[in-house]
Amino acid sequence: MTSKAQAGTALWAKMPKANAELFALTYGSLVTELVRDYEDPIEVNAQLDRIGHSIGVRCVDEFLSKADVAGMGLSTQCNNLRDTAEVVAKVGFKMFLGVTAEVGGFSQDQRSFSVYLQDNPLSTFVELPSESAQGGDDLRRLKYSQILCGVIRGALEQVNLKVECSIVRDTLKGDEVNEIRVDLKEVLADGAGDDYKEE
Amino acid sequence: MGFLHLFIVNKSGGLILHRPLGPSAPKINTNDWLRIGSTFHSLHAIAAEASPVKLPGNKNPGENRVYVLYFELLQSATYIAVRIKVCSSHLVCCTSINTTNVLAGADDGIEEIEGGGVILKCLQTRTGIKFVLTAEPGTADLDSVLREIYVLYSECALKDPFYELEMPIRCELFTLAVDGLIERLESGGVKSR
Repeated sequence: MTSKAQAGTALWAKMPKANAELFALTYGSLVTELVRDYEDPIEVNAQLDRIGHSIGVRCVDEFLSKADVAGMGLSTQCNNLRDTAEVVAKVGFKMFLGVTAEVGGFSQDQRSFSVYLQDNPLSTFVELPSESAQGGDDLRRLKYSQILCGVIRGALEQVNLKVECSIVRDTLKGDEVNEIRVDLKEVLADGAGDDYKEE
Repeated sequence: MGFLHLFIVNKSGGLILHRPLGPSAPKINTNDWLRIGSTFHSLHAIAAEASPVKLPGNKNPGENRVYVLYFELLQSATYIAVRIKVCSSHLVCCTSINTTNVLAGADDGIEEIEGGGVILKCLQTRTGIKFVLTAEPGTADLDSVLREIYVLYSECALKDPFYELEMPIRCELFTLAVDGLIERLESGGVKSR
């Protein structure tokens, strides 16, 4: 077990727990409510992403503060996107969801990677309607766990990494693993802009 | 010995919370605290730029440099010399995939100011919020108190659904928790000394 996985487990141990079934069912009812309200699955995806973003911008502070108090020394662990990806998957996912995620699929230029989730706590009990069912064709376009993309996007945005996230594989749609693709767009810089720098 | 004041500045320099922590805390009104908060924010930014030890990628292996500069205190028109510890040598979290000089927001700028009768410690989080604590010299372990306060902030303020990011914190749970923490430390501190 790597040190990041250990860190994740240690942090998860300290988190207040909620019942996994209650969690899955609550999320399920949120999604069905959105489907009822917006009807268009694309719009539902967008709303889930937005909700996730609001969660992400807040929970990143919880993550950083607790990791810091627990002496994880995250500051020395994130020197490049590869480290960041590991921390998101091994520590972040473990701390908040109690599941272990794997990282992989780095692109040539090291600017994008994938997070693989073997089991997705959000999709327990979930079945998307089959294509033949009524309205099923439409709901195939629903990205049920899109909220996770929003969370990653929001959390990384707060530490100056602008990323785009999307779900590329989903066990609900018959794939063998859940895959979230994260694509780094830009590293935002704080501090004085170049215009204000001395020659 | 004792804590004086806590203030929290958001990433754009706005004061989002100020709170006296002890009976000897200075009596300054909110408008002045707002001014102090944004002045501190600016000084912090200047210190990060003016730091004599900045190397590309912030990969300076050396120790934090301590140097003396004159620092105009807002409350008085007099100039006093204080020691400002500027930190720019830490590795930076999640900076960049190339290691050129990109600021990450944290780990730069003013970390500590020591003056006659007051010591100021600043914790800047990676998300750009500054937690600033002033205390009388000799108060133990301000750094860990700041980290605890950061945890309380994430627990109480950020989880309040009515709290908007970057806005002033008006969250009773948070202020109670901070008071509780300080009380616990002060009573515990007396015993251990």
